[in-house]
Amino acid sequence: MVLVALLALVASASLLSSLAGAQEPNPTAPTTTAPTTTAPTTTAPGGVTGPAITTTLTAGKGGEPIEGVVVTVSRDGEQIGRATSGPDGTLTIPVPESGQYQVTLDKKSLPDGVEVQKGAPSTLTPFVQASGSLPVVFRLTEAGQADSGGGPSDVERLTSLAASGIRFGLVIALAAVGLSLIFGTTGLTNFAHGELIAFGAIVTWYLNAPNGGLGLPLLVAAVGGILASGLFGASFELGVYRPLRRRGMPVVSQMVVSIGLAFALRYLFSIVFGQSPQQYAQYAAQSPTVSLGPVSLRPKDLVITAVAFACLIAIGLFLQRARLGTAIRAVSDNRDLSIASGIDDQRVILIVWVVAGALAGLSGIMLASSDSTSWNMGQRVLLVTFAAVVLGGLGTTFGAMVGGLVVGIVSDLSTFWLDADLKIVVALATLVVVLLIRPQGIFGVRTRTA
Amino acid sequence: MNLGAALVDGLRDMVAVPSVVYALGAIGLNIQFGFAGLLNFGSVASGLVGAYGASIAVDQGLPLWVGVIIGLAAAALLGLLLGLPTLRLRADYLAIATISAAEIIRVIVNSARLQDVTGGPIGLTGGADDFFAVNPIPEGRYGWGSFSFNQNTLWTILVGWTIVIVLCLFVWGLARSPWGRLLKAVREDEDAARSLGKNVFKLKLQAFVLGSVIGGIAGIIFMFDGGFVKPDFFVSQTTFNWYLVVILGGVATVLGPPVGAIVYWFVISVLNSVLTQVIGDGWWIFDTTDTGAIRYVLVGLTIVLLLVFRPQGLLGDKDEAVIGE
Repeated sequence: MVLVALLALVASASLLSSLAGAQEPNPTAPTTTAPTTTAPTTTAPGGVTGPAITTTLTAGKGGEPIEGVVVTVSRDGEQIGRATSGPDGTLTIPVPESGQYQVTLDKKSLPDGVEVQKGAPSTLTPFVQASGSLPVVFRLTEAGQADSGGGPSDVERLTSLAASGIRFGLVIALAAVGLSLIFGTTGLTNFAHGELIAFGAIVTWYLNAPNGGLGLPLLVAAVGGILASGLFGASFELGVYRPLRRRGMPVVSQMVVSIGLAFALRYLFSIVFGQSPQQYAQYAAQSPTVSLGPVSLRPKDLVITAVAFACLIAIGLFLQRARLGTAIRAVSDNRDLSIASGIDDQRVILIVWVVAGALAGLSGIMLASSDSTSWNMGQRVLLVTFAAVVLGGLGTTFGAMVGGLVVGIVSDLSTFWLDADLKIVVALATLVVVLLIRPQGIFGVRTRTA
Repeated sequence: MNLGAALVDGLRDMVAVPSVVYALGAIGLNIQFGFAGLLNFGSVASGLVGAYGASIAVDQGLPLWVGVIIGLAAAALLGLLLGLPTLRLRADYLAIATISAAEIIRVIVNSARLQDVTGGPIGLTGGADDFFAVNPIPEGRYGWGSFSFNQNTLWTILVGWTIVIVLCLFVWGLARSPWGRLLKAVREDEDAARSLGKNVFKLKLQAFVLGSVIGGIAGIIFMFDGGFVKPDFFVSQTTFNWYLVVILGGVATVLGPPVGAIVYWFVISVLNSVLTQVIGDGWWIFDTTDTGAIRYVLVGLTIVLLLVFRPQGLLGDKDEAVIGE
């Protein structure tokens, strides 16, 4: 029973997150609501056989049920159902079919003294499967209670948000470095970069899943996924952008081409992979957290943070020290001069695409293993990746790394004060502000306008 | 397969309100992207601001005509606020800044915190009541079979296409005016225009704000379609659909946007109808829910293929093609 409740928490949290790197609720977190003992079961009460959304509204230490709260379900802006919680605090709203719904709790219907927990959303967007009912959890709290009692202190919350922000930032930085390298060497802002991210995660899922996949261990599958996305990146260059450059297509048109490409690929993924998010076979469940001082982390998050950091260092060293890395920097710096000094720029650009594809794939695999794989996961982080790149300065590799970290930490920390769904707003607002104040980014050099 | 029914669906959707909205959105975008060469990847935000400006005003008890003025003023203000700092940026920065701004606005409007004002994810209804109240068409259904509309939809369609025609005449006049010629000159060679003493920035800003206001009109007509607004329509996909419409019709042409919108909706609708019939309950790797996805795959591929093989679109002049080769 407790396990079911935890899984329900994890599932609803990972689905409601608008960003792949969202903070999942820690089992020891302030669950003043989440009735771990009286969890809504997967068989719907009230004899509903089709898909439905259920929730149990409780607050207070004892988990007292709250009656008379209005919850509405809508899709595409159209209201589908509405229910009021009964004496036991439960309510069930049947939905017509599987799909993404928006479940909104009417704050005005909450009794006096009960409110939605600070930082927790009053609107959830769960994905309902075709059969069974989906329990969702609204985090409610009795007024004044949040500050007292068993929950973690503000400092603990801030440090754990910072830790998750660092992880998300490093993962985004991996993708951002590739995007930045492509821009540096070709001048193209690749709007299809999100699809490279999703491709890595999806290929890995196919290699890893026991049902519908090959059932390889996740680490082996991840290597396969990274190689495949490197090749996928190469196919972008060889199949699309190199021929377009040869035709002399201006960069602005290439950008619009990359939009079209992103569109086509994203929806191709949705056809092939399906629209429901999937998790990798290993490390899907919650495992005991590791404590590092005031921060407690899930082991996989610790591994992801460490691997991402190591990869960024490796890329940095490669660009600084290796012959090929120097060639890449030379082409970014001054293409004509590098050609004149005997560098095969077309070969360098191809290698950049392979490296960028592999890095994007790796970042996708990391996003998917801390959350879930879905067809549009790339699109959801694309703008954050842009924010990272622009923050550091388009074309500067180290800038992209720092930019990723800044965006990750700032946006995750913002959930301390703001609703989780506004996280993306904070990331993008940072981007816009930087563009206005310092368009060349933190590390960029002011260039003449073309 | 019932091809006849599919064709009727196509004919209906090419004149229906979504087609009007796309034509208007594309006219606005065409002024920014086509005539001025400004890569606005967030043009759907003007529609959002226009539609929400009007809806919120009506929701707060103001009459619709005041709401429309507020909506359009808000769209103009958005263009000004977004344009002032960003138009000096390079094309790629401008694209990233505008798409980000559009996302920021949509997420904020969608936020449950603002539910009292914007209706959050559910949106606002009732914004179009005043518009339907002045509908001179008697109640009933007009048309034949599935090619038919109720009196309110027909009223919106008639008003919408009238606005499209008026705006096309306006753009036709603009393109021939000294202002329009100067705009094209800036697009072709900014430095040359600047060296002739022209205020390039001011010109770009004017074009940007004008396009934004027309985008606001598109948003308001969208609100008239169902009588409600919701944030879901104003996602960046819609902007890129408008790009396809502009490129399909012909970048920097007067009639390109409406022609593009009509062709887009005819093809999409026929295709949707045919796919629904062929796929039915599932065929090969496709299931029922995939028809929408297939449509978007084709939208994406068409953008790519048009840019590569026919950058001037249906009506454009190859010599004046501002994109492509």
